Amino acid sequence: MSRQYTILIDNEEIAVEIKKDGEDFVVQLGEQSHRYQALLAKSPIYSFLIDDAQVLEAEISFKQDQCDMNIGHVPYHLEIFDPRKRLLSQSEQSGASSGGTITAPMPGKVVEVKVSKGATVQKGTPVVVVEAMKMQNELLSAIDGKVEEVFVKAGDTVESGQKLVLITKG
Amino acid sequence: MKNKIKKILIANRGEIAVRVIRACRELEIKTVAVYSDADRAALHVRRADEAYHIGPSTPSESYLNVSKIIEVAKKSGADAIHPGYGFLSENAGFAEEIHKAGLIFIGPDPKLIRAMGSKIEARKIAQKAGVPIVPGIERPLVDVKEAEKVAKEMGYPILLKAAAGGGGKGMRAVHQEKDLKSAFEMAQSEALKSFKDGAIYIEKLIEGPHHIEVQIFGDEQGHVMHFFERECSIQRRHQKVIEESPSPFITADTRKKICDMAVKLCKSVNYYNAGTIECLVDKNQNYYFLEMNTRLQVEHPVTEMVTGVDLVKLQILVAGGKALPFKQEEIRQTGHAIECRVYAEDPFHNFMPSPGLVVDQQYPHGPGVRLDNGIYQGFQIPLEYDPVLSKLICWGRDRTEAIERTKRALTEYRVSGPKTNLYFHRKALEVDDFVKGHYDTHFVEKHLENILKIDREEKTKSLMAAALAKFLEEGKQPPVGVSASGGSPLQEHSVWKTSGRREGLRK
Repeated sequence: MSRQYTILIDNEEIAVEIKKDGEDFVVQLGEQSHRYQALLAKSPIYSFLIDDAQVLEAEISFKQDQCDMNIGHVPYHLEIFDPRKRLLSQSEQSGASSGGTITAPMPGKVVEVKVSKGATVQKGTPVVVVEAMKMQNELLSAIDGKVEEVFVKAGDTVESGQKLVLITKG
Repeated sequence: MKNKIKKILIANRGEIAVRVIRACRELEIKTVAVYSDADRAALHVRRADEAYHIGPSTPSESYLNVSKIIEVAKKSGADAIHPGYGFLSENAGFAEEIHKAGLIFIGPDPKLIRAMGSKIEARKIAQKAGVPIVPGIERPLVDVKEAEKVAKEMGYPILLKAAAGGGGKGMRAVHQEKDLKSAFEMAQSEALKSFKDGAIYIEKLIEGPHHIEVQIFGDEQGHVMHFFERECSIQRRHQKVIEESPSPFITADTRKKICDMAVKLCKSVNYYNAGTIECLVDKNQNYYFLEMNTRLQVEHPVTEMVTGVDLVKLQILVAGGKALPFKQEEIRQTGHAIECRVYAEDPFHNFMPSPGLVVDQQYPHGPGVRLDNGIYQGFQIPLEYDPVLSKLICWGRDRTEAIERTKRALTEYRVSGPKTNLYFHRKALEVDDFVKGHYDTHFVEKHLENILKIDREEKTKSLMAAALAKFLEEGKQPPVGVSASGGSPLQEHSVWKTSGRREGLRK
């Protein structure tokens, strides 16, 4: 019995296969293969025993295909999905990401919007200043382009991932 | 002689409020916590004997609300107020209002806060006392135009600093003229927000410096003594991250000179209660007085670990009018202590703040380990305040043991939910320059890339774990849609049974 997954991390796609072997799992990633036992699996806390020797403590939580994980103090954000499902989502995604949407990297408060609709910006131009935990963070444009839309104003409270400004290439 | 303090209001939150409560408990003093909306269920509230709501989450409407805090102090029957660090701890007006209300402020006289707390005044006092200072102008800048003019005369790089500042807030280093305007505006806006004072001053930036500070203590009888130095050169954006005592860098001769200088400076103004003299020391062991903090420091525990003195208890004792119970020669640095500040931030994404729910927490324990913690499992970390979650302080017989111990404790320590800088700490302590004690304030920028490098093997195993967790997760739900090899994922594995069995065996 086996199961295939595709992991999307930092724009890289990685194929993983899980094979059940008795009470253990054989996990294959590229050339590498390891035997995993689940010592503790109480979402989001997991403890795995790898190759009957190494203990791996992990915090892993899922929101559909989105996965946030913390292993050995390293935070990872990735997507895990059935490779066949991806064929569907791919067509939806194409064309959407040609511009530069500036999103809030963390929950916070908009201190200043430095551009207005129609403004020309360069890569590295400060666009929005967001404050969280008493530190101000300048968010920069990732591309050369034009401000298509400004979604927020100074004083707004924003959630992590919320769209702030849309910039299109030009 | 003042009456003995029986009840203390702590005008702060987080780990420092918890720390002050600890000292009060040992002295059998009742504690009064204050809290904002966001801190309704905070640890400092839960640890206190009494707690009072003081307003909305925005600091200016709660933890910076002087009249409200004093009103609560009176209502609760507290006879003294401990300001902690940050917030109102260096606000002379607050201390004055406390005195006017007939209460004790646990800290120095408001006049001393005003004089020594203002970097500009403090520089004048230092000059008068014959203490070396860093070149700069001794009044706040009028506007950005003046900043440009002075910076040009002084020569880049320069440093912009909030006159009322501390902890890197309202502080910006500027290396070229074109960056000055935006840096000035950001420093001013941060200063206004954090300290309600937008005064900015400018000084020459000394490159390659060590940030070394001396813990001093005075009493109202006129005694001043020091508790040696702390090396605080591991900083990021002028925010200290790792501190240690003793400094691995300064010589015994420099140590003596700096500590004597700190005592001399404080004696010249009849300073009392806890204070810290911050210095820059260059690679040739030349030292310059930088500023004074007229309050308890975040990193005070490293001093407590090497001297064996509870500085918070000492603050309370001195505030009650007692004389310092030690002589200078009774205070020694024994062994070595290192503190790691644990922040809710993501080191892998430009240290973005990471507030949120604490899902799980595992504390470090064992020999020589101290954790000054401000959160608990289930607590929602607010986005309105400092990202300091806790401080891990480890003591060893020597520096090597202190490093080994800190690394060990870090592997035990886990915080799930918010992202933390624990990985940064673990790897920073392995950097050769740190191990050898060869570092200055540029350590973080110099080594950051290396520190944050993730081992390929580790990453592979982590990704495998993610896929397996997904597999197990899917198995918990009733089969939906397609399943890989035709069989129901529910039947494909029995890990739930087996892991239950294993847990049973362990008990």
